[in-house]
Parts: sequence; C-alpha cells; structure tokens
Amino acid sequence: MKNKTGEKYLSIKRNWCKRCGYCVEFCPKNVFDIGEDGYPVVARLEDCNECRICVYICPDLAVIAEPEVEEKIKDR
Amino acid sequence: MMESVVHHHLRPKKKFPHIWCPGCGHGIILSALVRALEKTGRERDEVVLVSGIGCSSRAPTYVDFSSLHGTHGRALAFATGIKLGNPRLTVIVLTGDGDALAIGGNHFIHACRRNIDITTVVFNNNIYGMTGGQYSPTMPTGAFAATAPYGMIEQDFDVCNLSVATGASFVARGAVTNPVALERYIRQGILTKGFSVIDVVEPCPPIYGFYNKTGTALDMMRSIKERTISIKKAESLSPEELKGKVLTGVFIDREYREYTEEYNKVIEEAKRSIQDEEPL
Repeated sequence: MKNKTGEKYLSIKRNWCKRCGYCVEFCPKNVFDIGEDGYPVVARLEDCNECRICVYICPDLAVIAEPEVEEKIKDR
Repeated sequence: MMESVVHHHLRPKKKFPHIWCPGCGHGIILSALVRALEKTGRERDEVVLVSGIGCSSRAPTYVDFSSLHGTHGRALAFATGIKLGNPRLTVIVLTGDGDALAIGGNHFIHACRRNIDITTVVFNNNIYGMTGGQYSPTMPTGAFAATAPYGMIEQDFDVCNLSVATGASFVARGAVTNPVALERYIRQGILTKGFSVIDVVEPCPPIYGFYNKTGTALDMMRSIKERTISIKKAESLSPEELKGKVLTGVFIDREYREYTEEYNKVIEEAKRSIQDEEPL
C-alpha cells in the first residue's frame, strides 16, 4: 500500500517486535536487515515489491504497511 | 486495507505485545484467520470465536469478534450449542493439538461425525506449551518432551486423516511458513457448509525447541518449510522420498447432510406431529 504521496511504506513497531527474524528471512527481495540491537530495520525499501509476506508472516503483528494503521496504534 | 486487516480488528483495551513467545506461530494463524473472515464478507457481529484452554485459545481475546473462552477440550461442545442455538452464526473454534485431540478427542471425532457447520482451526505445535512441555497426541514418535525424557514411544495422530475418516466435510493442512495458502484454506473452510478442519503446522521454539534441541525459531521455520510438501507434488514421489514429509493442501472437500439443517427438520416434524395429535 502506498501512502498519500504515492511512495512505498513499511515500518516496524519496535515495542511489539520480539526479534524472531521471520521478516528478514521470508522477504523475497531482502528488504530488511537485522540492526545492532537485534531488531529488524527497513534497509532497502526501494527493492520492495509489495508482496506483503512480511506483514503476513510477522507473528507479533509488528510489521506495518500503512501509515493510517501506524497512526491508529501508535500509543499502544 | 487488506494487508493490515488484523490491526483494524484488535480489541481496543487489550495490551500489546501479546503473550505468545518470540517466534510462536499463533500470531500468524490469527492474522490469516482475520484476513480470511474479511474476505468471506461475514458481518463482525455474526462471527463467534470459541476456544478452550491453552496458548492457542488465547487468540480470540485479541480480536473484537464475539468470543467464548470455554473449558479445556470442550470448545467444540460449546460451539455445537452456539451453532444449534442460532444457526445463522459463523462459528469458528480455535484450539490447540492437545485441547482438540487429547482432552477434547471425543468431542472432536463426534463433531466430525455429526458434520455440524463449524470451522475448526487446530494450532498444531506438537506439545503442551502453556503447562511446561508435556507431550501431546500429535508429537512425532521419538521426539522429546518433559513427560517423555527418553523419547516418545507412542504413535502420533494424523489430524487430517482422522478428520477425513470420521466424516468432516472439509479437511486441509496448512503451515505458518505459507500464510497465503493458510488464509485460503481457512476461507474455504468457513465457506463450506459442514464441519471443516484446518490443521496448521507451526513451531513452538521455547518449549518443543528446547526439549528437542531444534535450534532457534528461525531454524524451526526453515525445517517446517523443508518438511512440508503439497499433496500434488507428493503424488509423483516415491515412498522413500516422502519419508518424514508432512503433506499440505486440501485433503477432502465434500458437502453432504449438515447437522443443523437435519435438526431443524426434526423440529418441524415434531411440531407437525404434535399439532396433528388430538387434544387430551
């Protein structure tokens, strides 16, 4: 899903993430990297083909693909 | 909207992150279930999620559908009551392998036999995670658990073959490594008029992984990916090549005499026979 300006969007909700690494492993385009603290980071958003496997495979519902959703759950 | 549909259905006051361990597959199944429900177009108020006891049975507490958290193994018994009370409802049972097949084993086979229009999703991680790692009926022979320190000596249940043999209308097996197919199976199960069973292969990294030294959550996911093979692909393989493999896909899809419809016919007939009787 693209945001209002038509750009790709992906973010990790760090306080929900449990660092299992599934998003890094299952992304077919290798968009994620594991950061120094073990949390995944969106490193190559330009390679994303918007298949949404990362959103589906995240057991902690911590990969967010829409800015509206991010806004909705930002205080949780 | 479609990608993050589960985020739109989270209960407002529920605390996150959820209680499941890092790498546990339950969250993947829950989001696949919500996406499947959204695609079937069922109204939120017409869906009831019923669960028993166990890690898996915590799933309905996170989403804002009507839910009932019952007693251990009896989720199907409660669900049968709900469905008979109001056949208009879409009743979905979320249950673990121990909950469905050990404690609730009788309810499970008789729900299959009755062919009542309920969808059952079995969260199959081969172990009792919440109570500390006792072996469950689906634990593979030779695997280790807190109650099987020298290895499991019993034969394990095959959920799908059991359901097919006892008369379920729709039986499929998915894996958390393929959430797109899993969502499709759950959707097909919900749309089938009759009893549907979806067995989901998933890892339990902190308990099963600990006793069996299967490595990290990622290693377990890779092993599931290697182990699972679709029914179509398996047809061309020899029995030796299929050793240790787990078949995924739709095992059976048949619609026949459904229990609530038959029950309503009995009610109608009883009403007629009472009216026909002469008053005392």
